[in-house]
Amino acid sequence: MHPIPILFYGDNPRLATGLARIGRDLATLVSGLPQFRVGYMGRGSMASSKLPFAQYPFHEWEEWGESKLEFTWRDFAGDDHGIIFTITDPSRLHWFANPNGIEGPLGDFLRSGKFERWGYFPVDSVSIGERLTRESCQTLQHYDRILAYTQFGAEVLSKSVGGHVEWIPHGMNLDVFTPRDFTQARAKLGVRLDDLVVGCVMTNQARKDWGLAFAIIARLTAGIPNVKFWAHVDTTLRHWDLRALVDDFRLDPQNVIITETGAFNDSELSYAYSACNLTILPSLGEGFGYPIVESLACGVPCIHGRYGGGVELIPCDEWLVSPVIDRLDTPYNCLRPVFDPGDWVETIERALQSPNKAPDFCRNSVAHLDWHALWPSMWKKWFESGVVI
Amino acid sequence: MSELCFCVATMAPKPVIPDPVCTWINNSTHLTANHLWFRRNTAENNLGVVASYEELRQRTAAPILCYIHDDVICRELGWDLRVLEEFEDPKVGVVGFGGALRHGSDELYKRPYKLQQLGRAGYRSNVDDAEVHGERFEDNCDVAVLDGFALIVRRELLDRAGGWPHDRYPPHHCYDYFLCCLAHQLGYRVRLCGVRCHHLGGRTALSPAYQLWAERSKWGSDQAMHEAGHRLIYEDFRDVLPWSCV
Repeated sequence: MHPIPILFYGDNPRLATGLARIGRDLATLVSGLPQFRVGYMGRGSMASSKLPFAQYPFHEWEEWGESKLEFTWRDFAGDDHGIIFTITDPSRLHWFANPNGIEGPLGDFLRSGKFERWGYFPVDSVSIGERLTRESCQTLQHYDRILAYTQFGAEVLSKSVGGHVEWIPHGMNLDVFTPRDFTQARAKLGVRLDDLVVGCVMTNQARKDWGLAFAIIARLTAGIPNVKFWAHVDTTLRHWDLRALVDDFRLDPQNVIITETGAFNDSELSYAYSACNLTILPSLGEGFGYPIVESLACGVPCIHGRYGGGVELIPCDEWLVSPVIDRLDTPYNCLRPVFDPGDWVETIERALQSPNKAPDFCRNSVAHLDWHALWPSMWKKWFESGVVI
Repeated sequence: MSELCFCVATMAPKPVIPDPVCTWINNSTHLTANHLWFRRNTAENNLGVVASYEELRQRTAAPILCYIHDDVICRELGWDLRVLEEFEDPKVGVVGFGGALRHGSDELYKRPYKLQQLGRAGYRSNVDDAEVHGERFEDNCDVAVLDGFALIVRRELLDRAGGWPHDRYPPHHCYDYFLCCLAHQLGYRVRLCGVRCHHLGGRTALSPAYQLWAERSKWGSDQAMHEAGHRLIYEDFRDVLPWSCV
């Protein structure tokens, strides 16, 4: 059988984002299937010789790669029919899905019928009417296969397209994200054995509420003297200024350990997770929530808000914090929760006394996500079932 | 008619032939007592279902093996012709008289493991009380999984797998799941024939002697066997579960 060209499209697989990791892992695994020939058009960064597929990186300043797509496909697939598999938010893909009005080679290509549109869509919020905003709904209508990250995502997408949508969770490497020796882990992070260590791993973007995170820690510190806060972020200054948050909440800088993404590989990250008593993910909605499953895989409970796709990954209802109200945000009318930091502190205190915080309980709750298990059970079947095009 | 042999694991002592077993011979077109093979288990020497079935596989040579519980009564004349007609299709690996259209829930492998995720749905049969267990069905159809009270299997399928998994799986429970998942894994179809019959059921597993035997086994209890069997099915058949014929 002639292998079908499948071009992944999303964050560059070399980046440290969740989207990049999903794309990298899936593209690597699909490369092992004889039915497919894999390429990757990735936004940001450069190509890597360590990845087993053809790479077509493009710069962030090239927007969403509109000017490169037609060339990329021609170079990668030639005259073959194939698949473009997008792993990104539908709000970025209207031009790709619905090329009405696009002239020239790009418009011709997008209307050529040379490829099927498959999409694995993050859904971290709902809009009015429990679906996505209208333009995103229109985008989805032009897809041949739609897949969601979570059941939450599948329900939102189902309402958005008016039909059934499948979901498959992300996989992870449980050999790397594993409980590490507590004493070593604490030493590596530079905290004492009797400290109460709360971790938080989030990128610096509007949806990741670092303001709430620091408000929670400030309140927690007021009641408990030996709290150490480990904040892991891609950059300390972008949407939020983490140094300013430390200052303004009058936290002792010695009790706040800020690390940046480049400082840790996954193994080192697993030590940092293992040093924590628990982690928090005070974002305003997750498509999936890698920091949740990484923390759990390391045997450490994670506290999260009761909204979005991350809720399904939390194995214990008492580790979820309910919003006090919600509001609309961004041009895409995303419904976002508003939390009371006091509710988070109460939940943290309760979780610290919970018998379910045992490492085995946490780890068992994500065992099914190990790539060794998830790939043959779910993903391999999903890709293989789509080869008749 | 030597294609079929009738394999029964029973606690009935030699030379007793349980009455229900006789009904299968009497309602067949060609089967005689010569086609009957027994594994006679006793309280002291009880192999359990899976190892008994494996012993019967090794002792017989017929290309199609009818593993039917000793408490299932046949009420349909010519049932054997109906079954053999199914096996004329070389892709048919297993035939039974009670089965379900779906095996495994939608959440299977997507969420943390729970035994209930391996349940079956859309069960149908033509036993006396079919409506109690699901829906009544008199025709033939593809199914995801069959009930263990009647498993008629193409020998070739078992041979390809090295026989029944008596050294890995618990002696009771899940052998029906195993056989049907194995059939799908090896590319065979699993078929339900709505043969009119009745399964008395519940005689073995509820008896104090069986419970005692289970507790003394390496598994420790009937419940432990049940759980271990499900866990093995979960791990061994990721590539074919969940299976749906809808």
